[in-house]
This record gives sequence, C-alpha cells and structure tokens, in this order.
Amino acid sequence: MTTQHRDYADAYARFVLRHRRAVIILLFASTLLALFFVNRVNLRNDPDSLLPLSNRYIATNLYSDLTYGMGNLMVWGLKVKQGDIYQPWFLDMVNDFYRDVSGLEYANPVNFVGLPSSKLRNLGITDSGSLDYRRLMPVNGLANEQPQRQQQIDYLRQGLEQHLVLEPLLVYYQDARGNKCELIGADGKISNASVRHVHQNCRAVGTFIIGDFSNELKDNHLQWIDQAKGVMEEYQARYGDRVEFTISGEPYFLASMVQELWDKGWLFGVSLLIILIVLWYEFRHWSCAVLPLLGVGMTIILTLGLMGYTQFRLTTMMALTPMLLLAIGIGHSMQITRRYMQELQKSGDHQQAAYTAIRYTVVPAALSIGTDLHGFFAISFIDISFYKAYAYFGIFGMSTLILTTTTLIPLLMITFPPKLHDRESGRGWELRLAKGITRLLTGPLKWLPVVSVIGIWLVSAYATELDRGFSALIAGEAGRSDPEIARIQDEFDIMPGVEKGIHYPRAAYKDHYLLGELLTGSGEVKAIADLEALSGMMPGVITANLVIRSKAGSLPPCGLDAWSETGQRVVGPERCFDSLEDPPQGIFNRAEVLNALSNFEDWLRGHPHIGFTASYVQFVKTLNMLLNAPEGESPVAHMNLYAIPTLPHMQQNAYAYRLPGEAEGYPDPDQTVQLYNGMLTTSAEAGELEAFVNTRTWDEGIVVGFVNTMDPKLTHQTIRDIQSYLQQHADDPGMQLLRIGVEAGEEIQIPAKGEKPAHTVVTGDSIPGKAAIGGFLGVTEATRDVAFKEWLNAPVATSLTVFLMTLIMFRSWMIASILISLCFITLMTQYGLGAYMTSIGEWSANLAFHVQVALSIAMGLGVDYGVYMVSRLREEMRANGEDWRLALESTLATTGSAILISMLVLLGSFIPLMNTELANLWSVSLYISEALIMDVFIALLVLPLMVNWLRPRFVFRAGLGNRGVRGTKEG
Amino acid sequence: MSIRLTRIAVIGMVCHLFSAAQAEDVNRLSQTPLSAQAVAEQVYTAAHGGLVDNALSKRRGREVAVVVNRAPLAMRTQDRAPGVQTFDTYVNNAPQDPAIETLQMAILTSGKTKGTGVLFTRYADPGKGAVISMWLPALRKIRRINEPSHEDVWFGTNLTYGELVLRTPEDELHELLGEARVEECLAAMELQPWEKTRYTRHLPGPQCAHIGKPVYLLKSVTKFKNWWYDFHVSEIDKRTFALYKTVYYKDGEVIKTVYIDWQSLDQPDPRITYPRYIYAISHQDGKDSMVYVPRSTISLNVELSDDFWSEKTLQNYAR
Repeated sequence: MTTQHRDYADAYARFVLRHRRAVIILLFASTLLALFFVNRVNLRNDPDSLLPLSNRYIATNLYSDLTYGMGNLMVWGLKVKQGDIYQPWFLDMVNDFYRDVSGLEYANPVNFVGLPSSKLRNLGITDSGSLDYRRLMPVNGLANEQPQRQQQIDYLRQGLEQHLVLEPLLVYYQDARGNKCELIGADGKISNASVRHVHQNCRAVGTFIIGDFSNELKDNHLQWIDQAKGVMEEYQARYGDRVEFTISGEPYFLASMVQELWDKGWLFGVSLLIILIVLWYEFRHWSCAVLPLLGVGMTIILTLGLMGYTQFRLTTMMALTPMLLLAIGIGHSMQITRRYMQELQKSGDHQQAAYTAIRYTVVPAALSIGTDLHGFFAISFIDISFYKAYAYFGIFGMSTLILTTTTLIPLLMITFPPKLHDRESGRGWELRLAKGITRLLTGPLKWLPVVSVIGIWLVSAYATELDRGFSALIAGEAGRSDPEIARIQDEFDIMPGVEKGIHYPRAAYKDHYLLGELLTGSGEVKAIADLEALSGMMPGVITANLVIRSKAGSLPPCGLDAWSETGQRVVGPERCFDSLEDPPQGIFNRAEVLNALSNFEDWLRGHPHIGFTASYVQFVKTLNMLLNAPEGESPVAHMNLYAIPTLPHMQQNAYAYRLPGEAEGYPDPDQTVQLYNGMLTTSAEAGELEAFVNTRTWDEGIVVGFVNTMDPKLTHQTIRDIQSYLQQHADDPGMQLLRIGVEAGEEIQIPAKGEKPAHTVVTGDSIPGKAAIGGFLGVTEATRDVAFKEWLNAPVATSLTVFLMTLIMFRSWMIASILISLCFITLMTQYGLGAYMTSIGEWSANLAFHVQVALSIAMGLGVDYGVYMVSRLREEMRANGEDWRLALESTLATTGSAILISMLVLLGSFIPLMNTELANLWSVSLYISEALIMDVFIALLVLPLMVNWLRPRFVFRAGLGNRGVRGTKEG
Repeated sequence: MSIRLTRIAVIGMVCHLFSAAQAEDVNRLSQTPLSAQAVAEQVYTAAHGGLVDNALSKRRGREVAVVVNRAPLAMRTQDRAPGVQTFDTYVNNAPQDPAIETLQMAILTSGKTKGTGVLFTRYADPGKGAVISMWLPALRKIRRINEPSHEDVWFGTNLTYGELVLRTPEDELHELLGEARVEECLAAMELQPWEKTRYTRHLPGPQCAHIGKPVYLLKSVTKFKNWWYDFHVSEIDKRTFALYKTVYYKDGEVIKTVYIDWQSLDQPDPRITYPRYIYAISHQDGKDSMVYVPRSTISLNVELSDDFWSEKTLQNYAR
C-alpha cells in the first residue's frame, strides 16, 4: 500500500467515525427506502426475453408469436388406467375438464384443441350420401339416456378414427405391451394402412387438451398457476383412482418455477442460520455474529430494492444474486470483524479498534471487491438479459458492501460492543492446518499437490475431448468432408466432449431432488415427470415454427382512393390489390407453393425427431379430399386425395377430378386452391385460420412442427436437418418463391405494451445462408448459438480484465501471470465437470448458456483467494525476515484459514440454491462451488509452491525485508 | 392447433336472410296481452314465415347485397380491410312440390369463391333434414352437404346458424320482463377511414328511426347445457314482432349484441318487411359483422318457374 492510499484510508476512517450516527442513519434510511421497492421485483421468467431479439431464431420466434399467436401453449394429458377412452364417465370428465381449463384466465378458447373442441368434426358422409361434418362430441356433452349416449360415443369413435388431422395429435394409442402406436407411417405420411394397423392392434388409452394463453399471463403468473393447479387438484381428487393426469407447457413451467422459488424461501433462513452459527463459532459473541449478517442483509435489501425500482425483467436465475452477495459479503464481514476484534484485544478501546479496523481494511476490501466486480463487469457486455442483470445488480450490490460491512460493522460495534475472549489470539485448528500444509509444501511430498492438479487437468482435458477438438481444427480443409470436423471448425468447438446446447426443461428443473426425498419420501419433480410422461405419449412436446413468406411480397389493399365516384379504377392493380376484382395474390393462392409445403411437411413428419406437424396446408388437403371423393363414398376411403390438387396429382387420380365431358380436362390447380381458401375463410371462426396463414395477404403462413425430443444434441441435429432440406430444395417448384424465417437486416416491429413503448428490432446474421426457425426448437438453437459464442469468450474476457486488475494491483507481471494461470486450471476443471455431466446425460448441468455465467463469476471470486494469499505472503516475508517457511506458515494460519472459512460460508449459503427443484440454480451453484473448492485447493497448496519456485520480486524483494516488516507491523 | 375443416355449408345460409313477414293478424295480436312464450313464437314466425311467393336480391348496377366481417380488435391493423363478400339470393316460398317447404338459392358474386352457388332445399316433413347442394365452379361439380349445427358460425360472421335459422322457441325458456320503448339508435358498423373500400363506403349508419317504438322486453334462457350464452334479452316490436335488438349474456356479462333494422318493402301488406341490415358485435374481442341488403336489389313475386331453383341454374349462373 502506498502512503497516498493510507492517507485516503485514514481520512475515510476518521470521517465515518466523526459522522458515525449520520452514516448509520443514512444507511438504515436507504435500506428502509429500498425495502418499499422489494415487492415490485419483476420476476417473470420469460425465456423469450433472455436472449437478444436480434438473433434470427429469436426474431423468428418473436415474429411468429406476434403474427400467429400460440406462444403460450399448455398441454393436459388424460390417460385412463383401465379400458379405453370411450367410456361415458371418462368422456364426461374430459368435457368438463376442457370447459374448466378453457375458462382459465388469459385462455384463448378459440385456439384450444381437444375432444370436446368445435374443431373436431366428422369427415364422413350421412346415410343419404351428403358430406357430414358435425361435431364429434356434442357441444353440450353426452346425453343422459343410455341408447342415445352410446350412439354419440360410437359416432365420436368412428369420426375420430377417420380424422387424419386431429387423431394423431389428440389420441394416444398403446399396444398390449404398453408401447406407443404411431398413426403416421415411417415415411411421414398417414395412410389407410398405417391407420388401420393402429386401430386393429392398439387401444386408445389417452387423450390430450392443448390450450393457448395470452401473453398477459406472464404478468400474473402466480395467480394463474394457483388456478391451473386448483383445476388439476380437483380432478385428481375426483378421478385420480381411474385417470392419470399430466400437465405441461411453457406458462405452467415458467410460473411454477417462480412459485417454487417463493415456496422454498425458508431455505434462505436455513442458510442464514448456518452462517450465524459459523460466525458465532468463530467469534463467540452475538454482536460479531449478528452485525455481519445485518450488514450483508442491508446490501441484499438495497439490491432487491434497486431491482424493484428499475423494473428490470428478472428470471428465477436471479435468486443467485442475493446468495452471492451473502456469500461474498460475509467474507468481507469476517475480515472487518476479525480485525476489529484483534484491535480491540490490543487497545481495549472500541473507538480506536473501529478506526484501525476501517483504516486498514477499507483498501484491501476495495481492491478485493474490485476484482470480484470484474467477473460481473465482463459479463455485462454479453447480450443476454440475465447476464446483464447479474452484472448490473452484482456490481451495485458488491459496491455497497464497502459501506454495509467494512464501514457499518465497526460503527455498530461501538454501539453494541462485544466482550473480549482469550481465543482472539488464534485457534488451534488454524495453526495445525498451517503447520500441516507448510510441512507438506516444504517437504519431499511437495510435488503431490502439483501432480494432483496436473492429474485433474488431464482428466478434465480427456473428458472434454480436447484432443479431438484440436485434431479437427488442424485437419483444415482436407478434413471438412467429415461433417463433425466441419462443425468443430465452424463452431471452434475445441472441446466437443462438453455439450453447450440446452435441454430447456431440464435446465429449468431437476428430475429428482434430495429435499423432496427427505421431506416427503419422494424426490420426483412433478414438472419433469409429467413432461416425460407426455413426451412418451404425444407426438411432440416442443414446437418448431417455420415462418413461410414470399420473396416477392404483396400489394397493399386498395383504399377509397383506388376508385373514382363514378366507379373507375384510378389506382391500378400494379399498385394496390382489390380482393373482389383482382386475381388473388399471395403464395398461398398458388397450388405449386402449397404442394411444395405439403412435400416439406411430409418430410418433416418422416423425420425421426418430429412427431407431427400442423399447417394451413392440412386444411386445404382435407377439404380437397372431402370435395373430390366420389359422391356417396366416405372421403377417408380416398385418402389418396388428401393432397394438394396439382395437375400431376389430378392426372394420377383422374377418377376424382376429370371434368365432365372432357376426357383430359382437369380443374385449374390455382383456381381450385383459391376456391378452397375462399370457402375456408367464410367458414372459420375469428382467428382460427390466422393461427396458420395470414388472411390479409395470403402471402405468408406458418408450419408448426411438434418435436419429440429435447436432447440438446438431437434438437441441434433436427435444426441442421431442416436447414439442410431447405437448402437442397430451395430451387424446387414452389419453394423457389419462398423464404423461411426472419432474415438478416429485417426490422421487426414490437408493439407498445404497458409503459414500454413500441420499438423496432433489427436482426443480425449469426447463421448466414441458413433458415431461421422459431418455436421452442428455435429458441433452443439460439441458446446453443449464444452458448457457443460465449463459452470461451466470456471467461477469456473476464480473465483479461482480472489479469489487468491484478497487474495494476501488484505491479508484477509474474504475479498476475501466476494468478491467471491458476484461474485457468480451475476453468479447465469446470469444463471437465461439464463434460462429465454431458457423458452421463445430466442435462440439468451440462455447459449450457445459463451455466456459463458461473465460469466468469467463479473466476472473479476465485482470484480473490490468490490475491489475499499473495498479499499476505509478501507481508509475512517482510515480517519474518524473508524466511519462506515462517512466512508461509503464518500466511496459512491467518489468511489461509480465513479463506477456508469463507469457502465454507459460501458453500453454506448455496444450500437454498442447491435444494429447490430448480435445476438452473443448482447447476450454477454446483459450478461455482466446484470452482471455489478448486480455487481454495490451488490457493493453499499450489500457489505457494509457484511463488516459491518462480520467486517473483513482489514477494521475494531482497533488501527491503526490514522496511516491509515495519510497515506490516504498523499495519 | 386450430383446425376446422369443413364448415363449408354455411355459405348456403345466406339464403336465410330472406324470410321476412308475419303470418298472423298483427293488429289483433298487438292488442291482446301475450305470454312470454307467445311473444317468442310470434318473433319466430315473423322471422321464418312467408307472405310472398318468392323474393330475390340481385345486383343492380353498383348496388349489391354484402356481408362485411371485421377482425377482432386485437387483430386489426391499418393494412387490414374488413372482409367483404357480395351475393345474390333467390327464395321460393311456394314451390309446387308439396313435399318441399322452401327452395333457397344463393350465389357468391365476388372474390375467390365467385360463382359458388348453394341450393338449400327444406322439406315439409320436419323429420327430414334439409339438403344443401353446393356448386363448386373451380371443380365444376356439385357436392351435397348436411345441415350445419346450432353453434356453427354463419358465413364467417359472429352470428351462428342457430341464431338465424335453427333456434326455435322451444329451445329456450322465456320470461316477459315488461314493455318499453326503443331508446337508442340501432348500432351499425362504423369503419375507420383506412378500413373503407368502395364496397363498404356506402354501408348504412346507425338507424334511429325506430326510437320511440313500443317494444316487449323478453328474456330467453337457453335449455342447452354448457351453451355459449346463458340467456338473452330482446327488444321486440309490439306491433310487428320485429326483433330490433338482442343482447346475449354469459356468466353475468354481456357477450354479444345483435341489431336488426327491419324495413318496409312498400307493399300493400305492411307486414312484409325485410332486414335492411343485421349488425352483430362480440363484446369480448370486438369482432363485428354486418349484412347489408340494399333496397334496390330486392324484387318480390317475380315470374320464375320452380325449375329455376335447380343445380343447373347454379352451374350456369356465373357463365
């Protein structure tokens, strides 16, 4: 420390002591003020707001949400335990359940699908041969009288079994061995044969209700989830012995995460209790245990208050911030408290003890907090909202620690003076620890820690497949014929053994949790159990939204100025579109486009990871089958007509299409689909078609794929396959008119909402030449993209700032290099942990983007230990006449033991985070904990060796020993 | 996923706009105290009876009957003009075949479905369901379709087939709330400047001519369980039993209001009226629809043989 620093520290200490009451009142008043804003914390857990909107995947998802809705889908699964779904009591229950869930707040009933839905219509014929399209389930439920009731059930069954569109989505079939039966054949097509096979060999044992909710739900999720759970519980109580109920969906998932956080708030109390006990054990006085907690508590309230005041959109991940503040703050509290007690022991004067403690602690505390801040500072530049939230609030919170701990605690100690104990001179365990480690590091076994660290590093490198990554990188162009090598090169994936993609549900929730086992005997996490059950039953549980638009665009509708009063067209058809006069515009009025989309959908349905698709094309194909099946014959007996009426198709099925009196005359394909479009428009309810096609322009629409996997590797493969298909077929007839997804440089208008004004997002281009796909699959891929961008960048940026900080602090290249090198060892072990989690398929803790934040934070925190150790080693070298052994022992007895206790306190503070059902908190805590344990191991066992071997002048400064000793002793 | 595949027959229901007349001596009825059930039956008769042999609405110059559908409020944007469909209709209330009660024909005359025609045959035997034959011009074929259900939407509007055609007085329990006078103008679709096109610029505004007319206030509770409304309250002309305004309630909230502007056809028998416009607005999402039939398009008792109401006419109509 320089003289100048001491002067500042001295002035600061004198100032706060002189104005002790004012400082205390000011801090308490600020905390009280912040307390009023705490309940305004905007915890909403919306993954759509996590990632940068300029990402093309996210922009596509946003665009599809804004244009077509269906952004908050829920699924309820109802599976009978015995028999099939065609039991009267079950159908009655489904009817009631459907009514209740579609009556939940924020529901869009028109977008609900289930057996009682008005969308479920017969595709048959009446006895007289007319087309029959009545609802399959009577709108007011089944009749009470038995014969009529059975008739209705038979009608439902018959109709459902010939419904090409909704049966695969709504009915779960099982064979005698309990295996799922697929209605769609391996080729992605539904045929008479594939359907017959299922109906003959399998039993319908389950059905689903799919519901859509508006975005307002996200503002009132806690109230909503109570209602949603209430409905489930009611039916569970009444029918639980006969029916298995499952529930899933983004709104439920997100809302239940927030609820889980509130429900497990008591764990925070457990954490505080542990810290209180550790502090009491360390100081044996309640003032010394309570006041540090009070100080840190004030910092937490101030930070939460700022969160509430700024209305920053936060996620459940932000629960980590108060915990980190608690952990870090307690470390500083211990330092100041210990120093205060040491000074009190010396002088017996509380004023003097407070002055000295503040004077000699404020600078190292500021420097230490400064290095901590760099972990957060580095991540503030990453365009992910919760990274920024961590950074902003982390920086604010830690900055306040100087006031609430280093300053406030000694001031309060004067008011609530602790008693002195004999133990202040030091504890036995600390000395024993110091002696033991010193013996190890100065004896013949000194290589043991180094070998251990090298071993851990090599194991980590092996697990991460670093060798494969480097081999692929150096393979160059020649190796690119191997797609995996090309991928590694493109993504600079030097550690292919570590999965960076995300399994969103598992990243949100663990599948089991220990606390559940202990408290209830069942550690199963219902959200995941239900999701897995539904994944096994449904065609898919996450969506892939393919936004289809024309390359050419469409004309605006003609306004009043297009025609004169006398009825003359003034603005021509080249400038505006008159829907009643002009030829229909838009790609969805062209048969070749619809056919290309139909082929695309067939391919999608044949993909092993896509269970089902829905699009406007299905409407057209079904209508085509209905209207062209020979008079008096069941339409589904002509499933070959379930197609887009292109000329080749019509020629192939001439019996259905040939025009009367014309041997080779067929309807015009375009006019035919235009007629269908017109008929569908006039017969649909408000918003019904708009979920799939833009009926304003007929120039854009959406294909929704239901993806049957959430495995991060498989979801990525699915995206790549879709993109590859689109590239290969880009010039096909019909496809050449299309563009899929939002493109680079597009402007997406986001409407105003509440106090937030309307704004525009301009997309970037992270995936040049590839189609952007929306839906949860797109969000998953975008998350992977971000993870690949940051998994190396963020730690490197952090390490650079930490390096510069330590360089400035110590003015020693060697010390800065040693510290950062040791940080890299810890970092490698974190990657190794990620690789291990990948190898066992534990998708709650692979190196997904939310976990990566732990790398930077841990680096910022971890370097602290090195800083403390090096500073103390220098001090002790001066104090002990450059005697390395004595200096090391003394350092380990003081700073070393404090580091150990700090780590224990930090691990204790993670208890709440590790024991909820939430996987994101668990995984981040796990990575930080692992890093801290590693950091402590390195700081206590490896760093001293490195210092001793490399002998940096900062520590081993010949000739200055005595001056250093005096300086330190004065300190 | 939202898929309603085959609500195609509703196109045929355009015909039902034409059935306006009263079958009984309205002067006598208006002077006799009536029960709620009797009022409901008179309303039904007024809306479904027929005092003319045939009636037609056919484009005359630039005037043509239109259906205008406007999207829910949340979906409205400045580049979204309301959907417009023009149509001609032909109603035969006195077919020579005694087995047939009415023959109704509608042909769409604009847009993608231009030329699509529907022949609706309703039989005298109430047990025999109506038959709908639809001419599909692009496919050049006729398809027969069964009758839609009560809750099916009518022609893409926010009106249901039940409201306009199927619902009978027996489907509801009626309660006479009292008598009053029409207090407000009947609402009509009010378009924003950017929503207007040449087809909608002359849509009629709110009708105030009925203000002051004495009306019955009739509350009708549906007998259907889990129905889309619980009850509706109607304002019914005491003299003609014309239904001016119907307000639908669900769970205590107003969910939809339907206004009908009944107008005289200047016939010797004043009971022969027609619905100049029907305007329906759903209050939950703001979607509204309007059917407008200009007076100039209407002709009554035209010399047309029964053969005119045939599939052949449908096929040749647009040629």
